[in-house]
Amino acid sequence: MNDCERFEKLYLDWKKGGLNNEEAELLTRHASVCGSCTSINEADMRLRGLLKNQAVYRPTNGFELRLERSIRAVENNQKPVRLKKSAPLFPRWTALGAGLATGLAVGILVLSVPVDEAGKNSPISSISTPANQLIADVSPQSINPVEDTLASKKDTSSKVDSHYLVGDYGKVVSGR
Amino acid sequence: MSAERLTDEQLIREFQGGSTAAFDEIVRRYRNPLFSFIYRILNDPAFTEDLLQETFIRVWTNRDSYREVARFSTWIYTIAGNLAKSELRRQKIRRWTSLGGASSSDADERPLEVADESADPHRDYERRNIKQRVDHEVAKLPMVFKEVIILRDVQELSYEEISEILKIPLGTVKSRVNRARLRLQKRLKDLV
Repeated sequence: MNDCERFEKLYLDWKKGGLNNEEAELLTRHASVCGSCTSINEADMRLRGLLKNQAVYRPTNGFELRLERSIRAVENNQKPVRLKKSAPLFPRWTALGAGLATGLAVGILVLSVPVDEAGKNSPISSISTPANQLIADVSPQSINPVEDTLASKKDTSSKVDSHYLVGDYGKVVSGR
Repeated sequence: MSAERLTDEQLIREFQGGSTAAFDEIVRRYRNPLFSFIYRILNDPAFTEDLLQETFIRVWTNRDSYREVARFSTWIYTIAGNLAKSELRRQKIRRWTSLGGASSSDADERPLEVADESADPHRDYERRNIKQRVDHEVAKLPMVFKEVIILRDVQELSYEEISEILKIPLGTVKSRVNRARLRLQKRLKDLV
C-alpha cells in the first residue's frame, strides 16, 4: 500500500471519527506534502454541493387523480391503474422451450428403453424403415398390440421372421 | 390547524383517525422526494410512477400498522426502497430470460423536473448538463453505494434514518457514504 492509498484509508477512518493519535499524525503529515491528497477534502465539499443541488423529479400531471382511482379500485378488490404493465418474469418462449425440452427428454427416454429377452423380442427392430418411424413415436405400451397381433396369429417362433412385414400398423401380413 | 403545519407524525395520526386531508398532505409532501429517490434507483420514469403509486397505496391500506417507534419518513422510505429493489430484481431476471438481453425499461426517457426558480436561465443549459452527468455517475455506482449516497446527499436524510431504512449498522452507512463519495470524486474530478 503506497502513502496515498494509506492516506485514503485513514481519511475514511477519520470521517467515521475513528483515528488514534498516531494515525491522525500520519494523516496530517501526508496532507502537508501531498497536494493531490489534500484536495480530497475540498473535493468532498464540492461534490456534496453538487449532489445536494441535483434535480428533483416529479411524476406526470394527473398523478393524484390516478392515485385516487387506484385506491378506490384496490378497496373494491380490483387492480390499481398502472402506467406500465409489468412484463412477465419469464416470456412465453421459455414456456415453449421448456415444453419442447420435456418432450425431447421423454422421447429419448422412450427410445432408450432396453429390448427384453429373446422370447419377447419386439418385432420393431426387424421391421422396415417406415414402420420403424411409426413405432418410434409410440410408447412401449402401445407397441404391445403388435406383439399381441403376432401372438394371436399363434406365432411361436422365437425370432420374428423378416418375412413378416407390418404394412398397416398392427396388421401382420403373414409371409407363410 | 391546517394540515400543512402538522409534522409527519401528527399527519399520520390524523390519517389513522380517518382524515383524508391528512393523507393528501402526506402525498403532497412526499410525492416528489420519493419519485426522485425511486427514479434514481430504477432509471425508468413510468415504472417509477407506478411504484410511487404503490407506495402510497400501501401507506393507505396499512396506515394502522405504523407505530411511532420510528419516524414516518423512515417508514415510507423503507416501503419505497423495498418496492424499487424488488422491481430491479425482477428486471434483472427479465433481462436474463429475454432473447438478446433486451430491456423493457425506457432508459432514454427522462422524467419531469421540478423547476428551479432560482436558476439563471442563461446558465440553465450548463447546469442541466452537470446535473445529468452527476446523475449518470450516481446511477453507475453499485447498489450498496448508490442507495446510501442518494439517501444521504441527495435526499438529505440523517445517518440514523438511513441505518433504519436499509437495516444496516450506522458505521456501515457512514463507511459506504464515504466510499461512494470517493468514487464519485474520482469520476467527476473535472467537476469537483
